[in-house]
Parts: sequence; C-alpha cells; structure tokens
Amino acid sequence: MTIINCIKVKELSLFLEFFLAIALLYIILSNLLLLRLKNVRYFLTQNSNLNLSYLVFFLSLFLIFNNDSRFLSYSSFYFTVNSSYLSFLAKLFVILLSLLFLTIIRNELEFQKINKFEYLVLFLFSKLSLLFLITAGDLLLAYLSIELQSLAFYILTGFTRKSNYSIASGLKYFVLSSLTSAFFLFGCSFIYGILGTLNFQELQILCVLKVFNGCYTNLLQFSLLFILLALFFKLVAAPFHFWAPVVYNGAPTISVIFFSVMPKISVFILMLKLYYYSFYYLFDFWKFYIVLASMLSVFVGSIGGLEQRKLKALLIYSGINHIGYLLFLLSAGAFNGIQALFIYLFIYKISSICTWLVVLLSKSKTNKGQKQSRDLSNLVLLRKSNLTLAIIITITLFSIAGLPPLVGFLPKISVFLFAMKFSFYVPVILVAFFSIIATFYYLRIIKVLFFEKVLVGLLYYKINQQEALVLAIFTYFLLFIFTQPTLIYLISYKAVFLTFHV
Amino acid sequence: MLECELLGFIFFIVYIGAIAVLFVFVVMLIDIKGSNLLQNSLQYFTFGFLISIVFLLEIGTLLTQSFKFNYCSDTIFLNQFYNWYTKLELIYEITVLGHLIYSNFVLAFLLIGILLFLVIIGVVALTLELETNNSQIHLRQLTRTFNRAVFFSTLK
Repeated sequence: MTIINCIKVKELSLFLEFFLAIALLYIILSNLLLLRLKNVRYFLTQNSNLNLSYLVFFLSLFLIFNNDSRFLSYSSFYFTVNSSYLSFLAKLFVILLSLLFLTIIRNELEFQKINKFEYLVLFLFSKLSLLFLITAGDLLLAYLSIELQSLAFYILTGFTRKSNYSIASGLKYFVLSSLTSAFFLFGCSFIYGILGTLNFQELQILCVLKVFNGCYTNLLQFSLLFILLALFFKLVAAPFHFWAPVVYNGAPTISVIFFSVMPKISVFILMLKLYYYSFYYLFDFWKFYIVLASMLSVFVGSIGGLEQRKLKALLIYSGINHIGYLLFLLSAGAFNGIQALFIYLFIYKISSICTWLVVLLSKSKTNKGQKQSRDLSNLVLLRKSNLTLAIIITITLFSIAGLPPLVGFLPKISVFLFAMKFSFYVPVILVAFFSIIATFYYLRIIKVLFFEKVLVGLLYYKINQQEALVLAIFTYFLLFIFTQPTLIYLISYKAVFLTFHV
Repeated sequence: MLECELLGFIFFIVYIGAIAVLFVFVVMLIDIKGSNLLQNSLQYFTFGFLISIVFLLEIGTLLTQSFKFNYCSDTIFLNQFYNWYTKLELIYEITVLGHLIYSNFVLAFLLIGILLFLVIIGVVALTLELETNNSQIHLRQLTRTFNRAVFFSTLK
C-alpha cells in the first residue's frame, strides 16, 4: 500500500510531460501513416493537426488540475525533478497561453501557406521543453531542455524555406545560440568539477560549505558568470541582444510571437532556482551582473527603438526594454521582488501577445507581396478603416508604456518602489529617465494612428471571429484587472511563499 | 579485466560519432537509385546466407559459453545462494554506468532520445522537397508535331 502511494505521489509528477511526449509521437505517426496509406506525396492535414493539438492541450490541462502534488514541493526521479506550486502555476500558464496561441496562428498558417505538419509538431516539441525546464531540478536536465527548446526554435525560424531571409536568420540563430549553449555547458562543467554534483538541492548545501571555507569561491563565481551570460542570451538581455532584431526580422511572424512571448517564464524559473535557491550565498557577486545587464537592456531597449520604422523591430526593442525591468526585479534579492517579478511577467506577456496579435491582424490587402515586415506607416488611417482595432492598439500601447488607468502601471511602479526600498538610487533615476524615452516611441505609434494627416490609407483584411474573441479577452483583461489586481498578487504571493520559504 | 572499460566506451563514441557520420556523407555523395538496389541481390544470396549462418553460430557459441551454470538451481538453496564475492568486489564499470543511466539519469536519457528525434524531424522538414504536380515534360514539348498537338493524359 505504501509503495502504491509512493508511486502515486512521486513518479507521476511528470505525468503531464510523458503524456505530451507520447501524444506528440502519435500525431507524427498519424500524419505519416496517412501519407503512406493514401500513397501520396503530401496531404493538407494542418487543420486536423491544429484540432489535435487543441485536444492535447485540453487533456494536459485536465492532467494539471488533477495532479495531487501541486501543493507540495516534491522531488522525484532521484531529485532531478522539483515540482512545487510555482511550477504548477507556470505549467498552467504556459498551456493556457499555448491554447490561445493555437487560436492566433490558425489563420496565419493558411495565409502564409505553411502546409507541412512539422510546424505544429515543432511547436509541441518546444512546449514539451518548456514544461521540462519548469520542473527541472538538475543542471543537466535544464541544459537538455534548453537545448531541445532552441533546436525547435532554429527550425521554426528557418521554416519557410522559400524565403532566403528565413534560412539566413535560422542559420544565424543556430550558430549564435549553440555558442551560448557551449558557454552554459562550460559553466556547468566547472560547477561539477568544484562541487561534484549538478543537483540544485545538493548545490545549495555544498555552496554554503565551500563559501564559508573560502575555497574555490573565485572559480565558482566564474562558472556562475558563464551560466548567467548564456541565460542572458536566451532572455535577449542587453549586451547579448544583437542577434534578436536580425533573427526575428527574417523569421515567420508567428514564430517570432512564439519566441518573444513563451520561453521567458521558464528561463526565469531556472534563474530563480539556480541563483536564489542554490547560489544565494554568492548574492553579492551575481547581483552586480544582473543589475548591469538590466540597466543596459533598459538603455538599449529605449534608445534602439527610437530609430526603428519597422513595427516588428519596434516590438522587439520594447521586449528588450521589459527584460531590463524584469532583471531589475530579479536583482533585488528579496521575497517581494520575486513576487513582483512574476506579476510583471504575467502582465507583460499578456500585453505583448495583444500587441503582436494586432500586428498580425492588420494585414493590408494592397501590398500583398510584403508579408514579412510591416512598416509603421502602414497603420495610417487605421482609425478610418477599423476604429476598434485602433483603439485596442492604443490601450495596449498605453498599458505597455505604463500609464496609470491601465494594468501596466502596477508592475512598473513596483519596480521603482522596490529599487528605492533596496536603495538602488542611481539605477532608479537612470531607469526612470530611459522609461520616459521609451514612452516616446509608443506615443509615436499612436500619433501615426490618430493624428497623421494623410488622405490615402490601406485596406485591411477582415478579422476572423476567433482572433477577435482572443483580442477582446486580452483587452478587457488589460482594462479591468487594474480595478481588482488583488487576485494576481495573492496567487503570486502564495506561489513564491510555498516555493522559497525556509 | 584490465578495469579500463571506459576506453571501450570512448571507442564506441568516437566511431559512432565520427565514422558513422563519414558513412552518412558517403551515402549522400553516391547517387543511389532505389530501383537498382534490389536488382542483383539474388546472386549474392548464397554467399550472404553462409556468412550470416557463420555469424549466427558464433553468437550462439558465445551465448552458451557466457552464462555460467548455477549449481543450486535444482536444490533447495536456490534462493539462499549468493556469491557475495561477485556482488561486492566485481561490479564492473559497465554495470555501474548502466545502473546510473537507468536510475539517476533516466530523465536525461529520455530527453536525449526526444532531442535526437527532434533533430531527425527538423532535418526532414527543412530539406525534404515536396514535388509539386509539375506536368511539364520537356521531351514531349520539343518533339511535338502538328499531328500530335492534341492528346489525352491521365491525371493522378
């Protein structure tokens, strides 16, 4: 009886991941069998695959809600897997977002003529890697899941083979990202050499001993710095951001939405596990580098976006800017900082999906060949052709800029308040200054939308019902969560408390 | 044993990693038609069959020699018999490695499998050329005469 209980609680902590992996294999198998049985070269199965992925995600939601181990922090599989309330919430969030993402890409897949079934399979693969990264309790498992994720991303970047830009950006992404993966492995190997383990729990105990004895501290700091650099690259933080505009400009837009929205939360959870849980005793060391990267990314995100005329590049620079704020919250080194980090991440993800969705939906009819990078001036006279869409863009941009009657204001003010509390006075002044500069380019889009005196505008495609529904849900969320933000604060408080209390 | 089983593993890794990739390159360079592959297979059949029987016999003799006879299998001491010496002293590195892979690193092992599968799928997705239904035949166009301008063709 005890054995059965043990199995029930511990080894099924990865039931969701196993289910997703097996379902993925079955989707591939069904497609290949269809090709073989009908004896044809290719088959238009994209729609049925989309519906299958919906089914898979709904079933995995069911599995998440029925997971008994969500309120407890359990380690299973020889301590290589940590499941906690935080990981439960993160998995839930990832799967809900991917359900919405499937709704978003349905029309765009048809428009871009991406007919291969591999696109959705790769999407599911990267979902699987995100879930593994959230629960990883081991540096080896974390490395492998990061690698799985980035391999799927290279292929998603270069997926439209007809366009040379896509292939080139896929290759660039591959070269740069594999270099940083090598950095990550280098740091891991040093940690293994010094402490003899890669497990986060064991690392915590050993790190305390080593640091108090004062031996190998320099080498440990060196390896932590290398891992930090690799994670900065994955997060597109500032000194390592140069690849992002180049790669994202060539990639298909739906892939770009996926890259820029999805993987952030799992990388942040990995950073929390590694730096807050295992190596908290070296806080004074790594705090400096995180603050440096956050300052630089706020700087780059606000200055670099000023001269961009492409809508896609503008949103990428805005993303770099927000990563700066998130890293600033991470560097606080306190309980409330992590809570604020998750609130910021949640709200930022939702508002950025909203903006990307608007970029997707404002497809102009007139220049049909120009599928990839839309210019800022394409949005002129959107207020005449589709007033609701124009108003929604305004709301989301105000929210991202952090103006008070919208929800984006709350996390942004929390950044400044925490920084004041932990007496980062000079960084606060600089960040506030650059955030004012960043507000300029958000306002410029609104100026193009509403105050440009042009007589000839563009015609746009009609918006699909499902996409309109998703957009409406997000916009209402941005508008009305400001009146009652307590729920998010409570849930994030509970998650962080249950995970990091000592 | 010389207690250097790791050397064997390194040989395996080197050969699978480097030499097998060389083989793959060679196969890619040679333009093999699928129809030619099975054409002359019958004349090699007898020789191949003999060689495979020799290999089978070798494997059979090795298998029969490898597993020692358990002297206690027919007695009442079947369950009590432990050769403690082999259990304590002679755990080879291969056994330890196997234990570790299937206990401590089982998830990493599974994840590597998924990763390699993803690589295969990605390579196929990026390189497989889906032939469009191109009904243009150059020879027919060049040799077209006035009399054969109108013709029937079967669609797939």
